[in-house]
Amino acid sequence: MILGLSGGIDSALVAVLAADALGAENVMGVAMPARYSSSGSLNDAEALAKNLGIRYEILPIEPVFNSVEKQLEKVFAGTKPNEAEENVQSRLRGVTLMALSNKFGALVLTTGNKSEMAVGYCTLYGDMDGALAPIADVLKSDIYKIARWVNREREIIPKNSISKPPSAELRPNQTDQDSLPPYETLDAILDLYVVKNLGKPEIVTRGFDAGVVNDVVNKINFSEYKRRQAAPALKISPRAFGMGRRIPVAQRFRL
Amino acid sequence: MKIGLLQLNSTVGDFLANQKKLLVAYEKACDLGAEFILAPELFLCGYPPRDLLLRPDFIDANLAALEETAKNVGAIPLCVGYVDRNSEKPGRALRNAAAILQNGKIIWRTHKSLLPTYDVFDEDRYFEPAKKIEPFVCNGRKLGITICEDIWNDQDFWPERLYRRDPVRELISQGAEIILNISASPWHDGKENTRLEMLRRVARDEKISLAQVNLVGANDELIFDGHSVALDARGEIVALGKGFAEEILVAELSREVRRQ
Repeated sequence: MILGLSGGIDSALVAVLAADALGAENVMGVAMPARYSSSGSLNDAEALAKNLGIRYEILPIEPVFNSVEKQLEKVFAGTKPNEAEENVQSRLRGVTLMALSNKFGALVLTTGNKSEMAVGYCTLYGDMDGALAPIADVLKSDIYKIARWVNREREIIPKNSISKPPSAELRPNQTDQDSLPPYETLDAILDLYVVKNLGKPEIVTRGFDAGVVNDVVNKINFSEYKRRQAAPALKISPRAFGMGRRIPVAQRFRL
Repeated sequence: MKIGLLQLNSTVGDFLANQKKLLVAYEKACDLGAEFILAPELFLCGYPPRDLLLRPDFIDANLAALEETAKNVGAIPLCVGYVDRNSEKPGRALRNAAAILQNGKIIWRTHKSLLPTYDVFDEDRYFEPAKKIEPFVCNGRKLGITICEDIWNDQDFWPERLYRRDPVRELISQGAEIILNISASPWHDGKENTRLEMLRRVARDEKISLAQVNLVGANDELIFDGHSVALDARGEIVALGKGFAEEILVAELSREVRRQ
């Protein structure tokens, strides 16, 4: 098994699961820093790999990112940086992991969680690359609970990975909460929409801000096309994305 | 009656391996004193086989595996899940079935009545439901054999039911003294508790002992948790299988005098 290690909590948890399930000797963690990666994250990734005894490689994508920027310079002339540049980084990481997969005959694990997958906070052909998505049915709030349980006797996941604000590190000083409501709120809305099949109005009557609900539900609907191309996720909830939740991509039901 | 529960992990389409594993476990259960042995739903072909069921050679391989397994079964009966062809026309091509094997032969068959077709389930896509079922007579005892969903329609447990029939009640009204269930019940967080609570209520309310064997392992997205169980007629746990691990259990279920 191969997976990207960002120094964050999600990839850390997947590494723990993989090492536990298949043995540390069968897992490789790959750090792929670029200009917006913090040194703290790199240290956390390395510490995790050491704690688990898995093989660890650092394969920076910054040089390749530079080349892609040069490649696209002319055609992007006059435009402003947006998610295009962010996603290129994510996709270069995907390219790296798939190259290792093909060379070594290992499967890539994708590390997205249910909260991200629900609102499309993931990059198609980037961090979504993988044969299996072990935690894609686990809400972010539960990721924290599980990570603390993993560390119940000793610190396996570096505590920094757990305590720092979640971030994709694809642009300067980025945090998840720039684009998303706090995970506590997001996960509660997700449960009502995805698991309990309620519409926007009913969710608002349960005590959530109408603007936030509208935004979250729209994100869920508009990202259905991404989930159509997502790796199979291990089902651990009553309603998981995938074979048990069949929603059309082309649809205009806005509630 | 000592019921053997073969809580095993099968691989979809690996008929040889599934058969081998089944027979090794069967022998073990016999050594442990089992008088009647259960293996999970669709064990021989694996669960869920999905559109592999559309392949006639897949069905043939599963039927051949059943025959081959039967040849190796002795005096202690073995009940195992497999796919049968549906002889009734018009109707779906197949049946979700359980066969009882004894002394080298297939001595009895039954079919699943309630076919889950929601969430991750697609059984109505492939199978024809049984319209009526009857108990199996084993050494003078009437055993009610059910398959997975058949036991999930207790009107006292579920506020809203999906199906009109309750196979468990039908079997009891025909004199079934023990309810046996073979399952491939996928897991999600907490489901093992709901399942146990539900089964305990069935046993308690119907005043009947009950045993269920469940699959373990994972296939694609689905995880099967095991937690096979034997309950007495008060709904008390006689034996509880491990979670997420293979195990062979033999539990004593006594004949209960059902009181009004």
